[in-house]
Amino acid sequence: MIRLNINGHVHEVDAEPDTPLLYVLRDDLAMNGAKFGCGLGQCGACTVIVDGQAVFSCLTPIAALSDRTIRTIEGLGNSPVQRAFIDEQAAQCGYCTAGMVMRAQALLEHNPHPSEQEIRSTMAVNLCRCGTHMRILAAVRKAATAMGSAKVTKP
Amino acid sequence: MQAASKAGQPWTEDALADYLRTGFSAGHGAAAGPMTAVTEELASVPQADVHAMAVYVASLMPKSAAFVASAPGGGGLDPLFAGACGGCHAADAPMTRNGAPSLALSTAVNAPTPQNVIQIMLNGIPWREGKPAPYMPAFAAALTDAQVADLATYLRKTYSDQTAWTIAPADVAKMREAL
Repeated sequence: MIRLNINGHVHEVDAEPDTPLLYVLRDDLAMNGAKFGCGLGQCGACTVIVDGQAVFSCLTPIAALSDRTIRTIEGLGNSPVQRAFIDEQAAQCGYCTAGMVMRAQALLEHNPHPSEQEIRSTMAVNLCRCGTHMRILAAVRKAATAMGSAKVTKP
Repeated sequence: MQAASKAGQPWTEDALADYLRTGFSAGHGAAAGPMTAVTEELASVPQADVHAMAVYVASLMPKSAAFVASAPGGGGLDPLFAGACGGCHAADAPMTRNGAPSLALSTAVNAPTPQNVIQIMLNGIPWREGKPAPYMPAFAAALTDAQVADLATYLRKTYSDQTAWTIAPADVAKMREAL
């Protein structure tokens, strides 16, 4: 049994220690927000937040995660990032969206006023096969404005 | 240079010329970091000139027999390695089937110090926008200092015959600060 702290709740998981967090989220805990895209850390559809930083959950074995704090899109609540993605219509098929939102969330929590270059280099590891990157960038800029001017409450 | 080279496979003139022009050598690995700019520029230099460089560099390298990389023995894979690295670097992973060398041939894994192995685990090899180039995701956020230290120690023990590394989490923390 490995204990995982996810979105503020402790889950006891009966899985092999080398199991990627993504599989445990989706197959054992029915948290289906994070998606399987490539399984190689090349697309970002599986992005979640661990100890405040965005990680590829497909490449993060649960053996690496005891005593650490995991946050998924299900625990985000009502983040300005999600609002901005809706307002900017930044999803087409939506498969990459949860990962995009989580990476943007991690960025803006650390850096509420990122430069255009910082936004682009941070988001570069998450891919959108529909090609909505320009709208995604607009959403991250909009969320930065919203979060920079409001007091951000972290869960 | 002779003494410093711990390459598992001896470098030959042809292998060096290929590496310098393409940034990749099947027996050694991919150029990354500051070497990327070198191989990128050499791609457009006349082939004869790159070959001349390769002949010169090869003349300074040790003439040793090829080392045969052994696959990790029994006991099973380390769970961190299996879950974080195995998708690309395990013996039958798609990347190794496509010609990327085993970690046993990696210069970084066979180097005197763990510095390059730790550096590449933390930072990966970033995408090079619009250019065909090797990529590796960064693990700085996914793995703790202690986990990076354990993994690097495991890689050395499993894939290299060189002296074992003793790595403290604080060594990783120091490299992380330099990010």
